[in-house]
Amino acid sequence: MFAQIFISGITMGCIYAMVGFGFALVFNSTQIFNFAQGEFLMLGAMMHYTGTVIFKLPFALSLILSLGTLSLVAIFIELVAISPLRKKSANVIMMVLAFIAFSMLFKNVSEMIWGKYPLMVKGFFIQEHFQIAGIMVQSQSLAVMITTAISLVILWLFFSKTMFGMAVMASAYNTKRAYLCGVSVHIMIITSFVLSAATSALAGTIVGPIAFISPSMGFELGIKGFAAAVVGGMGSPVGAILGGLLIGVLESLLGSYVSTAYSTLMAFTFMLIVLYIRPEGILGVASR
Amino acid sequence: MKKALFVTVIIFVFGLTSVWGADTLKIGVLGPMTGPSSDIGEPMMQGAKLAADEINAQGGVKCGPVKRKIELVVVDDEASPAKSVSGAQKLINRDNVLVIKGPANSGCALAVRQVTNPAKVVLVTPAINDTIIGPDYPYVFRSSCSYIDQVDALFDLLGEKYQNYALLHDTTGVGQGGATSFKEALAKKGKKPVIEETYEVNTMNLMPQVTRVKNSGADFICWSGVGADATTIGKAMKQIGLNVLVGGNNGLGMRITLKSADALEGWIFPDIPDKNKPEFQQFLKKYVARYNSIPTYHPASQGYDAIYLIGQALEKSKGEGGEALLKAVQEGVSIIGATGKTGTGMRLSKDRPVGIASSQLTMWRIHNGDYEMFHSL
Repeated sequence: MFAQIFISGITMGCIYAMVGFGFALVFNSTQIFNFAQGEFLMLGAMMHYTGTVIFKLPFALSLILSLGTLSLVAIFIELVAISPLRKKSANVIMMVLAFIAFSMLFKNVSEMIWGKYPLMVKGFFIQEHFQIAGIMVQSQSLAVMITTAISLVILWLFFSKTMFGMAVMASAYNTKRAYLCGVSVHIMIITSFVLSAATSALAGTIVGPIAFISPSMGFELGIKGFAAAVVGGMGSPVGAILGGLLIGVLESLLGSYVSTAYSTLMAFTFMLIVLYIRPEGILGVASR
Repeated sequence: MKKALFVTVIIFVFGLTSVWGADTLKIGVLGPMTGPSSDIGEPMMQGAKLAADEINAQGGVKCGPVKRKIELVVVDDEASPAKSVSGAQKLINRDNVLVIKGPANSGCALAVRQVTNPAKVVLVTPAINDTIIGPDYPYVFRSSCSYIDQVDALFDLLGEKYQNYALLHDTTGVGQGGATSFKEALAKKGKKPVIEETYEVNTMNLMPQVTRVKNSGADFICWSGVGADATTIGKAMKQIGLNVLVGGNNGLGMRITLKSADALEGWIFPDIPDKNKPEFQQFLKKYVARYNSIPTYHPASQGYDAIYLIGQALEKSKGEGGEALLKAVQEGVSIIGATGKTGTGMRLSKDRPVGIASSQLTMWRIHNGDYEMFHSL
């Protein structure tokens, strides 16, 4: 029983981790919180639904459709709203408000396109459950964990082993020095946006089959992803992953063994306790 | 002379037009036409439209010497109590409806009756929360059954077969109201639920709740909520091997539950239509022919019957709303239509503000990817 509860916690924790990772990426490059991150997840799920159910595309093509569309959306937001505001030296609050406005816009547009009715998407595996070491595991939970692990490894390789990835990190660490070294900072910022949107879109694609998808699914997952990023240490992608897993597992364990009525409350109380003890988060920017 | 004739003709034409324009009997239809509850709101509206068109095809409702056609004014409340209240206010103050059919959701109905009752507008709602109807709200009627009736029908079927009942419900008006009804019914049996677990609508991970239910040793789960979340619960139950019977309200009849029917195999619920009733079969045929889709049965059938009942009441009140319409309904209106067991029908009166009684309910289960009526376990 404990194993199943832990696995369900890790499953949701992976989703929060990926959304939190997206928050951290954008924060690193722009010093702003992207409150449309939850809607990136929702749009990713919707595009995957469109690909597999409406256009009946093979899974791989549908995934490319989802990630590609969200990458374009991210570029659009950066070019149309964030970049102009930065050039005008707009207040950070204005940029946060711009993200919030986009979040509402995406939700409403999604409702117009796909309706507000819950939609079902098939899981990655035909079999609903697998028996692993005597534990019954929902196949989609397995898909979530495997996909999260693979995508995070790929991202780690990108940031640590490729010139481009290291340029993105350098630009986030110190914009002026990176510029002086010939790095195109604007391209690096756009890259951060694209990667954050794609990560959240991937999260939406893998979480959709667990329950059902709807235009309202982004809000709660976005908030928890934000909490993951804050707990892990704003600006620390590794911290965001750790924070997401911690929140997911805590929510599941506290809900199962203490009370389901207060599981989310307890998870966020944990967040406040972490911030009280260590305001920069578990793996805060200072310790990166 | 020519000018005077011209003016007379104009006045005559406008006078006639205004008489024609005032001819319709406006009925508001308020419910979730979009959103997670649209599986209930849309069939209710479409059932109502079907009935209205049939009545109008016969010339309309007889109001004294003339016949007046029904005009439905539809408002989407998206299952939000706030939007439902503003929708009701629009229907009453701007559209001047005589009566409102809806809302479909219990939370919305509880909010809207605070508007319609003081405004003396008859409200005919299918929402099942037991507290919606009461002596303080004489203008409120129910075109369905009460939640407690569903629970009574369910427990009559179960008999003494089960000992340990778990309650699992969402935090909406239906969920909370259902939990109260289940607890009352259990108290009559001298029992208490062994555990009560709640969840927010659209929660993705319900494993903690399902795990706690399993740990409680429950041998029957009383579920109350909106249909879509049942699939999440069903999947979690399968994952942890929780193989107990689940009985719920007719929210399980929302067609979204069939999209994960294998996760809900065997779940049972009482409902108001009777698949074997000729009137229901006829209604379903007409509905499918018109809308090219199979509806969630209960909102469609009661939406259809309710318009006929409202038509009867408007005939008695000669097209008047307010107190005259209330008196007409209280004197009694009835129809053997698409709702209720074979040989029975929907009936409203002063002593019977709830249209369908528990004896008129039928039992259903999700089986082999469809809904199936049955009589015993």
